[in-house]
Amino acid sequence: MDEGVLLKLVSFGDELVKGEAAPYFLAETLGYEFCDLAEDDICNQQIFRSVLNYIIDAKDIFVLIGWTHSKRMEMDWKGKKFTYRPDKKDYVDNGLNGLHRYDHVLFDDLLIGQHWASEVYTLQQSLEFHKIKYYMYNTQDKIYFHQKTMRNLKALNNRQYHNPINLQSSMLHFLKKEGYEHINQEAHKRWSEFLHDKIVAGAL
Amino acid sequence: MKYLVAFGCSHTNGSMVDGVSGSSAYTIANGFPGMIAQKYDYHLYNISKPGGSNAYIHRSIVDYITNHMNKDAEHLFLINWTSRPRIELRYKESSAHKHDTHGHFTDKKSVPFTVGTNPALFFDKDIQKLLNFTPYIINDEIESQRWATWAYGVQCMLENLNIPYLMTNTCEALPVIPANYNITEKLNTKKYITPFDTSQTMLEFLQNKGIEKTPCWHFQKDGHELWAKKLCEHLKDLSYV
Repeated sequence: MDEGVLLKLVSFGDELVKGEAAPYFLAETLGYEFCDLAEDDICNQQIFRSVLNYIIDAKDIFVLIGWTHSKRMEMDWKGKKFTYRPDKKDYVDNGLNGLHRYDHVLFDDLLIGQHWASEVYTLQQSLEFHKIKYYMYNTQDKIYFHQKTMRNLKALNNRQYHNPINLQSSMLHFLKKEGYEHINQEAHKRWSEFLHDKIVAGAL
Repeated sequence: MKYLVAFGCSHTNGSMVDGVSGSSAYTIANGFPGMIAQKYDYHLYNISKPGGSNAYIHRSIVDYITNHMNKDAEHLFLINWTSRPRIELRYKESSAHKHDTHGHFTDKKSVPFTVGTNPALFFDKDIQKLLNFTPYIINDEIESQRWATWAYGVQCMLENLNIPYLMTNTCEALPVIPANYNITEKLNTKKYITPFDTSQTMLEFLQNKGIEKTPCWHFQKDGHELWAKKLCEHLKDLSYV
């Protein structure tokens, strides 16, 4: 970590890491100013866009990215933006409920794995281009591993992305494995310690 | 060996350059990317796909870099963004279906899904039925934001990797809207030719020059020659050729 430079930790992610959550405690431990840009019910495409939009003019920041569940798709219906999810069945619009019949097409594991891995690669390259330090992790999912995504996944900078293809390495599953039934403040502190160790070990 | 690597949709695939074929070994070699490659003695990889979306174009750029690229060889990327109302779907790996178009390193399971596609072109009944839901799953404003971000991300990536590139639009201009304004301001317009100008898209530019389009909105050899000539001028300005 940079000594003597006042850095700001900017956190992107979903509802699991919004507010007084792991990124907040990590910033506190590091003595960084904290900027919380995590959002409820966000999808990975929006996270990709939010980070790129933020970094175009940013300086002296450390970017922390918590990728969310891959089976989320942003939609805009009649001017209302929302995230479509296969696990949500109570849409007011009947057409959206009917769309669930085709979730297996919209959320093909390999296809969404290909797009997710591509956007991570592009984002890592963009962050390097902007000379911005960063760390990535998954909050609750994994990137689908397949022969067709293998080389793309190998090309990712895994020193700065915690084990993206292992579900048990995602925040939610890691904490459950450690015995945290509820993702409470103690659980968030534990994940922030874990991230801190990874970031320090990676000399980031 | 030096490589010209072209990414895009049917226009980059050379659809109808011979007046006959949507996609063939001939079209991918003899459309505008092939003309440029022949002129400057590049080996051509044409990774385009008729109906390919901007999401597909972004993914295929990363796929080429991470799967196929010889990092020691000289490369020039020619990226030709397409229109917004398109997404990418897939046939299941376990199915016998293939979306069989010509191109290098093409993924035969990748299905271009476009508003207004003839359902008979899809072999999977669920993909056919999904056409009824396009107003839900394809939104122009969201696609405008995604396109701008992919273009900027690709720009940063290629600058970081020191890969020379030229970007163009084939079908429509990139719309500038409040949600993508900041990022469109950062696009390098020396390497992304007039991204916001409809008259400079391949479709409009050639028609304004009197080139006749085919009934399926493509161009034959005369159109490809004129577009190749325009791109060569930009490549010279950038000292790439």
